[in-house]
Amino acid sequence: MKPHLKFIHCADLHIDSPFKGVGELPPPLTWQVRESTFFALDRLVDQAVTHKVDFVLMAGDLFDEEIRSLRAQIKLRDAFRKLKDNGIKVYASHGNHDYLSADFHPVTYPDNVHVFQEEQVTHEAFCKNGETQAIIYGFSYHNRAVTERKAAEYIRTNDHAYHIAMLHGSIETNTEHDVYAPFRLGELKEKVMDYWALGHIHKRTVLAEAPPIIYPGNIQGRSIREPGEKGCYLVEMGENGTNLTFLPLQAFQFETFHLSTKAESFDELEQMIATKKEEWRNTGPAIIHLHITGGEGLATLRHHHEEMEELVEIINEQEQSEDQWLWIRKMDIEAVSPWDEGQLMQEKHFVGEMLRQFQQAEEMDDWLKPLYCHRKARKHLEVLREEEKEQVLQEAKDLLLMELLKR
Amino acid sequence: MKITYIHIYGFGKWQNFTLHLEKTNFPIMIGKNEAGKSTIRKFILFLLFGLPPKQREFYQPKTGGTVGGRMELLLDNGEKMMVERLHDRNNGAAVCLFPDGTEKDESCLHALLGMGRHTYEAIFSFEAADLTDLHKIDQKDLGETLLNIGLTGSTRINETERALGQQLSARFRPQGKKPPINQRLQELDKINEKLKEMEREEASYQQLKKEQQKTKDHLELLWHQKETIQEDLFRLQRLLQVKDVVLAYHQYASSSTEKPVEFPVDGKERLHALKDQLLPLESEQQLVLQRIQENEQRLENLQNAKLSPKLLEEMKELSVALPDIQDSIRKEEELKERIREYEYNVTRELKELNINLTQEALANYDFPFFLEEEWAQAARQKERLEGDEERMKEQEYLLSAQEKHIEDRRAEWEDQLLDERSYHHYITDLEAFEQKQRRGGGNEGSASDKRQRQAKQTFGLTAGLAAIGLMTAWLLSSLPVAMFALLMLIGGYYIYRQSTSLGAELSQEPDVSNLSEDEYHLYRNKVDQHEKASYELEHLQEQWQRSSVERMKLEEQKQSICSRRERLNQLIEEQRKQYPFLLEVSPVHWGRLYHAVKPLQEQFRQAQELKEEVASLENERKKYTVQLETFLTAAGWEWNDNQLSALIGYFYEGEKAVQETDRDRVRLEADIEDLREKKKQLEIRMLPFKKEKNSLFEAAGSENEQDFLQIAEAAEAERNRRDKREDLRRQLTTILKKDDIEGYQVMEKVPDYQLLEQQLTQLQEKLQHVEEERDSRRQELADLHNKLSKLEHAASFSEQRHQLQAKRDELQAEAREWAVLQTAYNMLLQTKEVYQHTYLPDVLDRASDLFSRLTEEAYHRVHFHPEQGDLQIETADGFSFSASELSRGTADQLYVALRLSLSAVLSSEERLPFLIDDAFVHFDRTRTGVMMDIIKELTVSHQVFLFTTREDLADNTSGAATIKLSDRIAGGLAN
Repeated sequence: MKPHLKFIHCADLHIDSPFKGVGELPPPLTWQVRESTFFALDRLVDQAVTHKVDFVLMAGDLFDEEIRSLRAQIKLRDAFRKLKDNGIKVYASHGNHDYLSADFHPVTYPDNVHVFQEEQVTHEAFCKNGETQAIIYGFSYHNRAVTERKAAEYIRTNDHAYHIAMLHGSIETNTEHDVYAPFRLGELKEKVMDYWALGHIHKRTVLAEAPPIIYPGNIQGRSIREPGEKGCYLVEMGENGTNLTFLPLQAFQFETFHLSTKAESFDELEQMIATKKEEWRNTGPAIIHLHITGGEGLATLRHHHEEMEELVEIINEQEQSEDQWLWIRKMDIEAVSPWDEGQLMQEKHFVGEMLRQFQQAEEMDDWLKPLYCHRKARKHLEVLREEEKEQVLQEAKDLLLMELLKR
Repeated sequence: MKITYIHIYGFGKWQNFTLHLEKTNFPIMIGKNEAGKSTIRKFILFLLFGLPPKQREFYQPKTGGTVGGRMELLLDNGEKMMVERLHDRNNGAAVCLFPDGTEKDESCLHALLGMGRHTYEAIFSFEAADLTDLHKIDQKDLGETLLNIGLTGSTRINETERALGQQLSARFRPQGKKPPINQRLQELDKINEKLKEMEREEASYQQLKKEQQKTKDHLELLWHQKETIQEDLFRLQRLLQVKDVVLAYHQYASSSTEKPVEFPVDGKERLHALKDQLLPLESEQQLVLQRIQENEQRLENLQNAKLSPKLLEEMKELSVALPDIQDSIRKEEELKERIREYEYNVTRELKELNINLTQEALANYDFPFFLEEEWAQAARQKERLEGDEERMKEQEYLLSAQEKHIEDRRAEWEDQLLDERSYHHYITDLEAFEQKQRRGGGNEGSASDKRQRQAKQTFGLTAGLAAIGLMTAWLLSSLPVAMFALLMLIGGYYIYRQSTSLGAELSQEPDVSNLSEDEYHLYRNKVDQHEKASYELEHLQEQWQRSSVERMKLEEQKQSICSRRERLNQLIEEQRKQYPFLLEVSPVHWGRLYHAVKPLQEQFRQAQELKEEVASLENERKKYTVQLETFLTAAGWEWNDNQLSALIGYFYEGEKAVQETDRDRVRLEADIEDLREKKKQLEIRMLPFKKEKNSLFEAAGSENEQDFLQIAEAAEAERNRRDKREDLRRQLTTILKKDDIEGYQVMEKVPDYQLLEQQLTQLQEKLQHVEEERDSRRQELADLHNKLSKLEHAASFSEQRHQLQAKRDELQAEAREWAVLQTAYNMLLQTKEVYQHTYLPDVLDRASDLFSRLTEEAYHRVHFHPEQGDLQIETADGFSFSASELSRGTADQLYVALRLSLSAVLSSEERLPFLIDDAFVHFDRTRTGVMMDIIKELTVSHQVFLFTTREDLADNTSGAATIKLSDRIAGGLAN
């Protein structure tokens, strides 16, 4: 008979990593956003203590090598200490962001923490009441990239205990992220583990339920591309199988909201957004991207850059004093064009010619060079992705049509 | 395509307006300004392309009705189509009706037109306003603008290009500093710099950690060292601590070989006990002896200081005489006081008497008992004499006055005597008149009667008023009124009394009558006076005789007084000679003076007696003083004043001292006797103890106490040594460890303490050194810990990193905006370039032709200069220059030429109608002609609507249909 086991599975803490695309915020929000990873870490510890778990699994990327934040390491150490004070063990491995050969600060963790130091998979027994209750398997990245398949290295011992495997890597079919330590789902299932604690992918994903093969996602969203609730899994194993509970930990969320409107003026727009915002507020603090679709009336508004910015400023104005703040970072307007592009393109006229030219914007990269390849700017600027370029092109076209065809 | 029919339901000022245009391809609408030409043009555009709702509402007719209308179109394929558009139907969408009844939506119309409103307007629509816009453009931009006209038919591209360019450079300039993106970059660089510095700082963390470990290890090592040293040190210290004990031990061990000593048991204690008992007795004896000696000494001293018997005798005598002397001194003082008093009194009183008399003189005078009587008599006589003389003088004066008075009166009366004759005459007349008078004398006193009557009346009146007043007072019970009334009554009565008494007096006056009444009175008077004078003269004679007698008596008295005075003066003179001080005193006061002087003399005499007495007393005193001085000198007593009182003081003291000494001597002799007795008793008590002591000495074999004690000492010491040695041995074994004792052979020999001390010092130094080292290491460790803790808790690095990211985000967003603008801008340029290559040559060819025609061959070609990106004009003589150098007028012509050429090129496929609205209103006649020709050429392939104010245009144009709008409005209204 297997004993009852309770643990928390988390990964990709990325403590103290800066947030991308958040921009400048008023001071109280700046502080909250900056401290959010610490806050999430504190909540993780609180949850572990509240639920009286046996141990916490951290499947890699606890912090970012590239930022070398001593503060992150110290906070992590403090968190570990608190867990130790509550008799909770920690099993951690290093991932591609905190790989072992990276230049870290020499912070010593308390002895309740077991870090899988080897690049090969090793295992560690978890004992409670004098008996081995779980065997935990894991390995750490020694270099930035681990490209070999790791699944084969997981060999189940004969212990009569739960077998829990930690793996920081991605399923080989995944194309969105860098593929490290690739695996196929079948490979993992063959290993007859009781739980696969994965890390690396920031989006919470349950790849399989029996046995559970799970990405808990990161504990705090880091950009608009990591929306929604973020946190960890509380895993309870016992006679009746495995029970998974997701515990949100984030200090604030990223959200994209889509709105369609008939508004034709900034005032109407403001009013509508203000109303909607109160509906959204119960999701908790959030940084928001608004995507607004509307008719021709809206089309003319979107090229009024200054007014658009002013509108966002007005809407955000009171947020810094809110507990459940909602900060609008970006507002896109998608509107029906008042003209028929297809028809315009057929014409011999200048506009027709221009639209035809837009279809083959090969020289766009060259046009953007003065800024994007500027000596000072290039180290700070990220190169536009293809879809972003597409958007830029579309916006440029809109702008030109607007300018050339307006009456 | 051709518009064959227009029906405006309502549009701006046009309402229910129709036009039939089937027959003409060139309708010319003529109307003055504000006639509605432009509105018709707008209506055509509205029907073809529609309008946003707001603009549709703008054309709502003022008189109401729907906005909208219909147009019949003759299509290129010969088909007809009716287009209808209403403001409030289908949101202003068009409906296409075909003759066969089919109905299609707006998309059909779009397909037919093949272009949007903007394109259509750019190609097919001209306005006077376009030229006005052209005039607004700067000369330098003119060339480019004209080029753009050639490209697109409007200035919009140019404007857009410029606006985009401005926006771009306002955001970012590759070499700039001010634009926001440049500033953002600088900001980022700054943060980056800071971040790097912080990173370096944090990098020191690792180093510090290493140092921390090293220091910890070092400390550990030092601790071990310290432990070892301390152990050695403790052992040495223990050994050194018991140094005295060890030394003592060895000393006792080496000195315990002397022979044993015999000694009575507790001999020393017993001796002590005896001595304890003897000692107080001995000391008491000693004390007594000492006191006897002292007292004897003092007694001797006293004996030495005693006076000789002769002196003592003298002293007694002096002492006995002393009270008398003191009495006499007191008496002398008293007497002196009294003398002073007397003398003072006498002097004072003499002074008060103010006579020339001194005390001494006073003593020489004799004042016998009769003198007082004599002086008093002299005074009384003088007084009486003077009184008589006075009286006599007064009588004399009175007598003289009387005599003078008598003389005066006699003279007066003698004047008033009448001569005898006239006297008789008057008598006779008077008697006669008196006869007559006695008969009629009733009228007398009438005046007084009258006055009495008046008084009575007054009194009556006042009495009446008083009665009324009293009545009133009674009625009113008023006291003041009653008083007033009473006062009035009294006043009235008084007046009455006055009047009546006066009247009575008057009535008593005597009356003299004469012959006439006046004469009678005169005569009567004279007679009466004569009679009276005679009488008076007689009387005066008598008086004269009496006063003569008086005078004789007076003379006698005078003589008697004179003789009395002589006698008195003699007496006075006598006395004054005898007592000269009387000279200054009037004899009147002599009696009193006697009484004053006599007691004074008495007092003076008493004083003299007292003085004598004093002198005798002084004598006595002086004698005594001498005696006293002699004695004091002989006795050798201290004295230094020759005043008697002081000497007496000294004498007293001396006497007292002598007596005191006598008493002391007696007492001392008694004391000495007592002490001798006491001494004897003590000796008896000491005897048994002394015997006991001697027996003790014998037992110890000693001669005296000294020996005895030495022997006792030796025995004691030996016993102690034995005990001590054992004691020390025990101590050593408990204090020192067995190892220590054996290792250093403590019991066997004395350790080399010098060496041990040396070792101790060395070890202590070493320990101190280690401790210092540890302290400094600990400090280092603390410092390191602080530094590390500071680094661990520094949030600023993290903050900076987040800030950097935030700013990068902003940069990213700004860059993206820039990218949009940059793309748009470049796309515009690119399109322009393509366009120039594709269409511009054709357009410019046509434009050259038109321009040359419009300028009457002045210019012959327009072409594009690729390097300068500019239009170039070539004159007829082959000279080229930039279009921006053209004059305004010529530029207008070039504009028209370019517009028409562009339209021609672009419209070659689309046969849509042209709308030309006063486009060459400012052209002169010749040019207008050329324009009309050109337009006419257009009408071959296109329908052309020409809106103009100039009626003459239609006249010279064949194939044109003239429509006068003013008529149409009237007509329209008529319909």
